This record gives sequence, C-alpha cells and structure tokens, in this order.
Amino acid sequence: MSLFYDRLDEIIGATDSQSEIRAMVRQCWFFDFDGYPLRVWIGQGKLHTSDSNTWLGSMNGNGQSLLQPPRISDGRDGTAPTYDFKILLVDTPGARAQEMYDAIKAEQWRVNERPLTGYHALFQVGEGLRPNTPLEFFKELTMQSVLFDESLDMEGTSIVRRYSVTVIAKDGNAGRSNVPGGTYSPSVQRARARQLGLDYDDKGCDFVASLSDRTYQIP
Amino acid sequence: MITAPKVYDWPSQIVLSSQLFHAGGQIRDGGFTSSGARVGYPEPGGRSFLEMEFPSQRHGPTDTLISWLMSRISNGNLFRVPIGRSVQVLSDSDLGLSGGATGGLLWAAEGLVPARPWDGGNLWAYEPGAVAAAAALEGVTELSIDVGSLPSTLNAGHVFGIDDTAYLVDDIDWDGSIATIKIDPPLRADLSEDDFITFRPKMIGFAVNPESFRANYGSASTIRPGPVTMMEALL
Repeated sequence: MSLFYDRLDEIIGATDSQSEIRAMVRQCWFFDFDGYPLRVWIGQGKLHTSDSNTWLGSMNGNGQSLLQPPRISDGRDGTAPTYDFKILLVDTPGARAQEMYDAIKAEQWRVNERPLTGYHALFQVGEGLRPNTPLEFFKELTMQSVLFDESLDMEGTSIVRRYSVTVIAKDGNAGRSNVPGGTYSPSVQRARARQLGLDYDDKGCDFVASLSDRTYQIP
Repeated sequence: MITAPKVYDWPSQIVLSSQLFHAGGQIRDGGFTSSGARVGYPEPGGRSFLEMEFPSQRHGPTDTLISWLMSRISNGNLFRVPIGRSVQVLSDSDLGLSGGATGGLLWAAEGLVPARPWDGGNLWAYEPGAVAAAAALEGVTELSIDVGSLPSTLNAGHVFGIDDTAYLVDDIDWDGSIATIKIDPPLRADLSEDDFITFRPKMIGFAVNPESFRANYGSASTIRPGPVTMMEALL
C-alpha cells in the first residue's frame, strides 16, 4: 500500500464517529498537451504537491468548477467509455479567453494521443495547500480529440460570453475490438499500398497462398 | 507575455464605517449521519472575505466617485482595499504607539518636513509591522515573525498582511519577540527571511454582491452605499 492509502486508513481506520473523520481528498488532472502540460485540481488556489508541481485550482469564486471531470468508471468490464472533460476558459493573465480558445483551436494536434492522468490528493488538517502526502495515481486516459463551444448567455442584467473546450478521452480499452492489422487480402493490401504512396502495381497478397508450406534456402 | 490584471486602488475618500475580515469559511456538504447532523468537508485552502459597510454621506465631491465605484465594482473588477476600520487590526495603542492619529505618524516624531499635516489634512503615513523570522513556502499555513521592539500583542483573531494579501491569525505562540503563527488562508506567495509583514493589511478582491452597493443610491440629500462583500482574488 502506498503512503496515501496508509494515511487514509490511519485517518478513517479506528475512528467510529463520522464527526472525527478529517480526510480531504481532491482530484487532480494532468493534461499532457504536447508542449503545454496543464495541471488542474478541483479546488481553490494553487496546490503545491510533494513532487514540486503546481496545480491550478479550478473552482471560481461562485463555487463553480471550471473543469468538469466526468464520472470515471471501472474499466475491468472491458468497455471503453468516452469521457468528456469540459473546460470553461476564463481570462487569465497574458491570455484572454478568446485568444486561448483560438490558440487551442489552431493547434488541436497537441491533444491527439496524449495522456491524461488523474490523481488523488490527500489533505490533512493544517497542511494548507502544500500537502506532504504524495499524490495517488488512479486513472490514465488517452486524449483523442477536442470539441469547441462558444455561447452568449443572458444572466440577469448582464450578457456573459463563454468559451468552452471539451477534451474527449478514452481509457486503455479503446480499440480492443479492432482486429489487429485489419483484414489481410490482396485488395486491402493494395489499398494500403496506395495510401502509403507506393506503386499501383503492388501485388498485395497475391502470392501469399502459393508461398505457404514451402522451404526456402537463403543463398 | 504575462500581463497582470488591472487592480484598482480603493479610493481613500470613500470612508467606510466598518470592515469585517473572515477566512477559511467554506465547506462542502459531506453526507448524512444517523443522528441527522450536518457533516461538512472543509475546503482545502479556501478564500478570505471582507465585508464592508458605509456611513451615510451628504451629497458632495464624493458623489461622482461613488458613481464611478458603482460601475467599476461590478463585473469582477479587482480592488485593493486597505483594512483599517476594524478592531481585527492591531491598533496603535495596542502597539504602544500612543499619541498617534489614525492613519498617520505621531506628531512627536522629529524631522518631518513639513512639520504639520498636509494641505489635504492627511498626516504622514507610516506602517507598523514585523519581519519574517524564517522563510516559508507558498501554500503552507505556518510562519514565524519577529516583532523586534514592539510589544507581543498580536493575538489569535487579529488580521495582518503580507504584500497585498491579508491573513487571519488562527493560532499564535510567542517566544520572546518571535511568534509562530498559524494562518488562514494559506500563504499565497513564497516568503523569504526578513520580508516585511505589515499590521496595516490590504486585500485584493472583487465584489460578490455589486448590486447591493448601488441599491440605496438616490437623489436625496444624503446617500448611503449598501454593504458590499469582497472576495479574495487569487492572482
């Protein structure tokens, strides 16, 4: 067991009254965009972890989380659910929401096939935003694509423009049902050869059957 | 390029009648118990709040400032608000600095030019404080300060400041002139040894209820801006 679970057991273990339990656990998400790693935790303020990383707090002043992580399901049944991570962009120092939105839109390749890792952070009483328990890994997903959405909403008497980016991620079960290498036939092989820019005269699998069960001597 | 957001200074002409600072006040609902008690998870970190109330004021030069504030205070604009009108801040008499006027240097002080209040009636500004006795990292909740020759009157419940952030003294332990303090909210920036810690704190925040501020505005002979709550901005 890791230190995380040892501490959690220690906090919950012998205590039988719920009012004595003082464990605070929060999610941390690491979006490993190519060249722009983004670390976000579901909370307020900057979180400093023992691996000397800084995580940005996603909760704004209204108690609303700008990152809405989906419910993560257990992958042991073999399914590969699609997870949507919706990030509401806000004006940050150096980048207005719209600029960031455009930049992400222009460079979507930074998302493809990059890992998205989920951790749990354990806070003990008096630790503030610098917990000394190492983060506990709990899920790794692969980011596949991004969706973009902008809206103009009327809220009371003010008009609010919102930019949101949704990262679509899958876990390691994705693609398991695909046949490895696909179908193996002369026409399919020729199609692949064409995709690779090879000659149209590629023989594909024409010889495969006649090459079987033979002994070759390499000179 | 990193550009800091624009932070407005609270106009000193807009006088406050009271201020109340509180911190670390957030919980999330945790669950049920068989006895029906409410269980809350304390939110790690949390933010601080500053509640402010204003006295009635006659129509005069501050009218336009109040009008400006009524617009600026909405839309989440940031304000740097000094915390002074509150017993949560160490007063001059607490610090043994008798004879001083509020917000100004003692008139017994030597060598002031001019040796009188400024034309606007303001006194020389001064700022009592302490220095950090040890370095502390951003995010921690404990730090130690050295008050030097000042009396050790800082107590739990007092509010002090580092740069533009105000902190509540959650618990304090004195050893001579050195105090080990537990603070709330957690330290917002790295602190080096000998950094200045002020007993005249300021806070950067935005109004959570700007409509309350402008609610009482009228064309009568006196106006009284409504109470407003500032929430700490995490920069």
